[in-house]
Amino acid sequence: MTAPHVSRPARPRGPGFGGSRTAPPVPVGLRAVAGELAGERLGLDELARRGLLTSPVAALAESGFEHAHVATDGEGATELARRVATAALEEAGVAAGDVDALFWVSALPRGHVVPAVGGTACGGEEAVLADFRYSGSWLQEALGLDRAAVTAVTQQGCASMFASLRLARGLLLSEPEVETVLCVGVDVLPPGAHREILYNVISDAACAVVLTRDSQVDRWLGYRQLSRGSSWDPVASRDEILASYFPTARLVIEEAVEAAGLRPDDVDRVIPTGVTRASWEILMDLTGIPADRLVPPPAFGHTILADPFLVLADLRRRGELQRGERALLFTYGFGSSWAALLLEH
Amino acid sequence: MTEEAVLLTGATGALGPQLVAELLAEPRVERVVALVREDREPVARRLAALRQQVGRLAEASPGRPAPDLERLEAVAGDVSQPGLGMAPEMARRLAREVGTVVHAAADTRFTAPREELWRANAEAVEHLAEWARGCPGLRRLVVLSTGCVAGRSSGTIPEELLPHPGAFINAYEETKWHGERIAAGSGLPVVIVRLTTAVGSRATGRAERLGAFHQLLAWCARGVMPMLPVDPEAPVDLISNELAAGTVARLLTLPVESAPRVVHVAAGPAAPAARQLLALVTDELRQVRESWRRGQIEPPMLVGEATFARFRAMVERSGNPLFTRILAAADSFLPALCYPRRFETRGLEALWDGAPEREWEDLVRRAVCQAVSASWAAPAEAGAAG
Repeated sequence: MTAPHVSRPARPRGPGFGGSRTAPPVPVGLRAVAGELAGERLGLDELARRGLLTSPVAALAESGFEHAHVATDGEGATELARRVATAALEEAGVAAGDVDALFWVSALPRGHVVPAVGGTACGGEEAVLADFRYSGSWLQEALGLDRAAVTAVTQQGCASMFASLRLARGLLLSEPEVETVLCVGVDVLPPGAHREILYNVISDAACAVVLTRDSQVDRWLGYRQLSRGSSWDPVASRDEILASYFPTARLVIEEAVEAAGLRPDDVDRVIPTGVTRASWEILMDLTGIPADRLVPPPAFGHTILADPFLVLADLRRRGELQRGERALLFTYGFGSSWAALLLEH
Repeated sequence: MTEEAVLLTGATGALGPQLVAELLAEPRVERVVALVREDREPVARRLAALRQQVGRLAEASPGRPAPDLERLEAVAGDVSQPGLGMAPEMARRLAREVGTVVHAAADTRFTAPREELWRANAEAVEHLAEWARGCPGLRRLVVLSTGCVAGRSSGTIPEELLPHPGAFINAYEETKWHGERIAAGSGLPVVIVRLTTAVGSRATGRAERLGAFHQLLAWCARGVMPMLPVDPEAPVDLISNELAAGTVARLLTLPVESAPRVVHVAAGPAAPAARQLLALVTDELRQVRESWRRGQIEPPMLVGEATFARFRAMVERSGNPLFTRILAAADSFLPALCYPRRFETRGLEALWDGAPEREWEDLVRRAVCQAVSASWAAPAEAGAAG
């Protein structure tokens, strides 16, 4: 049974929507999607042995988690990002010099600065300057994205990549000279970091998306984001976040589907993040999208911002998406933000 | 008109003060004798406190004459004991004087041990009936029961003794069902009054004791109950304390031979659907609570049992302390939402000449305001408010 929810208080719809029902559709699409997990794979037992989990292994296994991918020595965020960005550009058939804008995306603050060689032994002015060793700029240089304007997106947790795509699309629509935008998202936890957050096992990973105007692949149908600063502190608001997750998730998905002129049954695929499998099953119940439309959540757990794009890249690579299929991607990010993206393959 | 003394048990309970107020307002009632336990406080102090509570209720109803509180007395006793725990001489004296007994005492804790609930809700009726058989002037024994005796059954609940429903949600329901059976089989002139969910005072929204409904309100207000297992169209039967107590008082006006055997004090056909109730609660919370007004908290979703079961399983696996505690407390009453039912109210309508006051919207709005102002935070032990 899918129950109608209580109507929300009237408020302007503009800010949370990427794609108005009244505006003519513009075929911005995801021309390429690439993703990569970090190199070392650790099973739940090993993670527990190293003291990196909170919940019992059995409970995590029952929730659908099997292992975590952890960056090896020398496999930092920048290296992962470089690899996926290269893969995405190759898939898109776009030369580095033709990229008009680069969005570097990391949920973690540490992902935005390239660590100084030899650590932070320097002091004085150099110590301050070291904080400006931007990862996005590094990637621009590493890939030769000489034409790109570089910026970064963060502060939406796991929803940061979604936000970057929305902004990238906005750029493509508003500035005719911008034809190709590369969004690169990566998060690598510090060495020895705890690998469980709010009952979810966390992997390190990167993803990259090339968006272009006039792309007919994974065409942008709609977007909805809802941000609630009341739970800005995930430590203090842990229970409030857990309590609000489902009602807000359903609301955001419903609004995104409705704004795109669709019904729940029109969604052909739901591409999940790697959070606990049961939460996706519940969400399918709540949204009224048939349960068999859910793509199985990945066994590598949650990668902060890259999971759905890893799953999407895998589906595209294996040719499992049919032309015209409509896919819903959804995520929640600390801050908090809930974001839903609708694409047509 | 013959005036009579009314023995009242449960005077210090959730509905007690309202019952006292309504009984004292009834011209047939010479005096109300409240049977109160003396285990924690002397009877005199309990009587004083009860008179204060009744006085406050009277102030909230300025259109009605103030009750003569001198007509309210109290005697030490315990309905769960043989002879009602009264001193023998007092027990004999009262037996000679009492014309009506109103039995409102109960243990309403949903999660209390069954033995305790049995003593309070079933054995107590036996003790009461035993004592009442020694009342030569007894006109009626009014036993307050609950609509929850319908247990795990759906559909229309008739105003008659109910067969065993096969299963109950909790031991409170079960022991109250047995209490009805004991009362009905006592051979005494019994009227069973089944109350649905007494939310509080229609005038103030205040509840003397908080029950499961208030607990749910508190959880919703705090935003820690993301979903409820209930059909959006299922009726949610809510009544005011005034309707409950006023109905009991009206029963005293009926000739013994025309008194019904079972009366439902229920909203019946006027009960809102769950989605309507939720919409109103949401609307009120958005007016009285900033977090709701700013859209920071969403109302709970009304979902099917299967979805709720998945949610429960997820919480259990996570071991999250808050939600584990909430769901454990909710287990004692939430399953009742999965059995939509509507209570017959012909008896109630006859008592009130066809027009009992069953308006629920203002009642619920006031209850929400009370919930917010009382700042309910931690889950309390759930129980019936009655």
